[in-house]
Amino acid sequence: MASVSPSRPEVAGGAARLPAGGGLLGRLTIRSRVVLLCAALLIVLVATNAYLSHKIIESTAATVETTRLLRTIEQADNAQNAFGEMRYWMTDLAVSLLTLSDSKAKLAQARMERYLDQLAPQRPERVAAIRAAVTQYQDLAAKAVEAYTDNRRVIGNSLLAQARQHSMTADELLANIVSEVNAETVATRDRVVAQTAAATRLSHFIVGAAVLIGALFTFLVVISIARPLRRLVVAMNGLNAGNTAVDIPAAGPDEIGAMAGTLAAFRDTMRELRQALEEQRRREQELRAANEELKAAQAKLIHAEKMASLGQLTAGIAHEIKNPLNFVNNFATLSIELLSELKATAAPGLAMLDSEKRAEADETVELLTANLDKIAEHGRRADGIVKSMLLHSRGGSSDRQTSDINAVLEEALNLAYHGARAQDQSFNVTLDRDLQGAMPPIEIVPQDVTRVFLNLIGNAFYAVGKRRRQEGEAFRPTVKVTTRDLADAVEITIRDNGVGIPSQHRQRLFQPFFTTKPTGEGTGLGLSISYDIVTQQHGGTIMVDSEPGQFTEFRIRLPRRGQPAAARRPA
Amino acid sequence: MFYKRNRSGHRMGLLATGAAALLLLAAAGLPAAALAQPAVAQEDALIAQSLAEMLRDARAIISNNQPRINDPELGDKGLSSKVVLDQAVELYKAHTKVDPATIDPVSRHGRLMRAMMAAIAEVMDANQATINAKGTGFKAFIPAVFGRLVGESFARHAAGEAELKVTAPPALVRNRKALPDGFEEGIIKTKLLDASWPRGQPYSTMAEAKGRTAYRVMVPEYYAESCLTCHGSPKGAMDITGYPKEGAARDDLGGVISITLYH
Repeated sequence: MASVSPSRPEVAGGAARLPAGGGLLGRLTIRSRVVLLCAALLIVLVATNAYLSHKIIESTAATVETTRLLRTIEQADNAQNAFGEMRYWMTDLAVSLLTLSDSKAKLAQARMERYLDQLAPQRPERVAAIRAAVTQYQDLAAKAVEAYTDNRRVIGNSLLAQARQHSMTADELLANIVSEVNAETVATRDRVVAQTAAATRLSHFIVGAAVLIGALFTFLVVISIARPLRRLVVAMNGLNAGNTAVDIPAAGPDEIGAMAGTLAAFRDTMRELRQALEEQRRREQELRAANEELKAAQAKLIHAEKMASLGQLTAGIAHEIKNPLNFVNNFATLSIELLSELKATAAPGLAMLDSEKRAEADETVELLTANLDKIAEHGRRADGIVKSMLLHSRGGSSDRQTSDINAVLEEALNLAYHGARAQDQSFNVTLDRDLQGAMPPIEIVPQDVTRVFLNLIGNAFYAVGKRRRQEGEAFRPTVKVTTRDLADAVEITIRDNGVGIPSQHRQRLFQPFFTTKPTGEGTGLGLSISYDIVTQQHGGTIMVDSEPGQFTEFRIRLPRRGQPAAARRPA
Repeated sequence: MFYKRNRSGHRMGLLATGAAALLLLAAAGLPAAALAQPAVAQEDALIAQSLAEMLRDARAIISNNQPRINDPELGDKGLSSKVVLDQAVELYKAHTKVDPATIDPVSRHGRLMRAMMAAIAEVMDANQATINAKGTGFKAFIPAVFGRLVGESFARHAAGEAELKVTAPPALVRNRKALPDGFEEGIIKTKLLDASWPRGQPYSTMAEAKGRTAYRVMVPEYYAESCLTCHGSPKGAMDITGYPKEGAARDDLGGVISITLYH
């Protein structure tokens, strides 16, 4: 099989390289192959033709020789015939004495002499002998004719008998020439026939061999062209179908090899284009993802800015409210104490009053005390709100500690449960824990994360409690907590089967002061604070999934080495 | 003693021409080439002319009877030697105003005339079987053959005193017995065939023949129209005898009666 030409560039990719052509022919160009094929056939043709020409020349020479011999035979025959004619006319002359016979005899003799002249070069001795015999015959016959003319018939007969002997001699000599030359002719003819037969057999053999060899050579040439072409067609069909892994014959020195090289280059270009296209797609996806991230970051930034603005506003408001609120609370408490001291101081005087007046005074003091208690109570509540607002604006503690997330979650779960039981003795819930064991510690701010858990678990208890109140005792409230180690992060899931969150509330869920609880039961800051703690403080994510009337699930991911996503908001 | 031309039959033209030539000789009283010869020559000329006339007359009979001779249905043709000879004599007499019987038989002329007549009778007698053969058409007993046979017979009957031969230019001779000898061939070529030679004029001279002195006369005969049937055109075509025609034309020299009178 043909090797890849070192001058050709290596075809990148592809499976096993297939040669473009096979054997010696594969190393030649198609033009060279065709020229070689034609040359071989022409050589065979020329050689055969030369051989046949040689044989034809030999045959022609033999034919010429045969023709010469036949001509000799013809000359001898003609001479014999002319001599016979001469004898006839001489005999006729002897009988008829007609001058016509004499002239005919002379003409025949002249013809015979001409034929003998032609024969002489081939058979000089025989011709000389024939001439001698003919001359003797002619002399005797002429004498016989003279005798007959002179009415000397007996003498004429005698002379004619003598002449007949010589005529027989001449005739026999001529017949011998004919038979000898005839034998030579037959021998020559047989030789020519044998040579022709041999030449014909050899010619048939050469033609047969030439046909076989030519057919085989043609077959090889055709195969050497057709096979790589077929592989090229298969490769092109494969490439056309988009299969860049298709086998392409190796580039060879011939035209098909060049085509294969070009096709391989095309395949490589196709691959590069495809890789470029895939790279472009990947980049597009990355860009799209980056865009999404950018959008998310932008949303987060907007949200953070919004939260920051709210924080600043809240901090400002809280700061401005806290001082007067302190005065309200302090003076309410002080007024209660003063009112108690007043009641004690005024007790002797009040005792002097009639009972009705005293009862009226006592009732007034009690009402005043109750009002002050109300002022103090709501003042404390307002203070709690303000504290929360300040806490929200300041964020949690930044003291990160390596903590066991399962322990943090378990603690929050217990605190929340007992808190709920403390507020409502009838509250009951099934707590389902699916905490992954041997969880590696994580760096978090445990107080803030506990706060997040308390918010979420508290909301879950609220939701299941609300649904229980809606559905009655048949409802089994369940809260399930799950932890999973994600290697570079920890995922905490808190799922309840409470009333769920309507979809219209989802967008506003983490906004400050958004709450669906009745007034006094929620500040609307729990989820907002939790969102900030998870995302801003720990660089994690918090997502919510809910089906109204079915469930609500919060999924928190805390990176193990999470960094604050943004600068802390100023207090 | 001279006679008119007889135009009937084969060879009659030749005979008539020859007769005219002899008539010229006779009118002049001397042979053409022997005007200066003495009386012997004059007698030889007369004898030669007489013998030639007798031959031509007999030959005319044969010529005139060719259809009869060649009739295959007819047996006896009635051409016995006596009949032919009588008719020939009658013609001779008509042509020459001379009765051969009146010629002195002792004289040389008489002897030779009788030899001629005997030759004619002999030839006719010898060929009766041929002439009378029934069932055969052409019998080749034509005037030329008759003339040659008569000449051969005359030589025997003349017993060396004279010879007569009907010859011709060599190219026209059909039987080699009629071939001219050297003298005859020379005279034919140089004289008779010469364009300036007077038509019909015989040539005569004293010359040697067979080692003897002889008076030789050569009487030219010319083709008449009737001769051309066998000797005319187309040349080479076969005549009735199977011999190729010579391609001759009317008035061409066709024959020569050569008479040799030995001294």
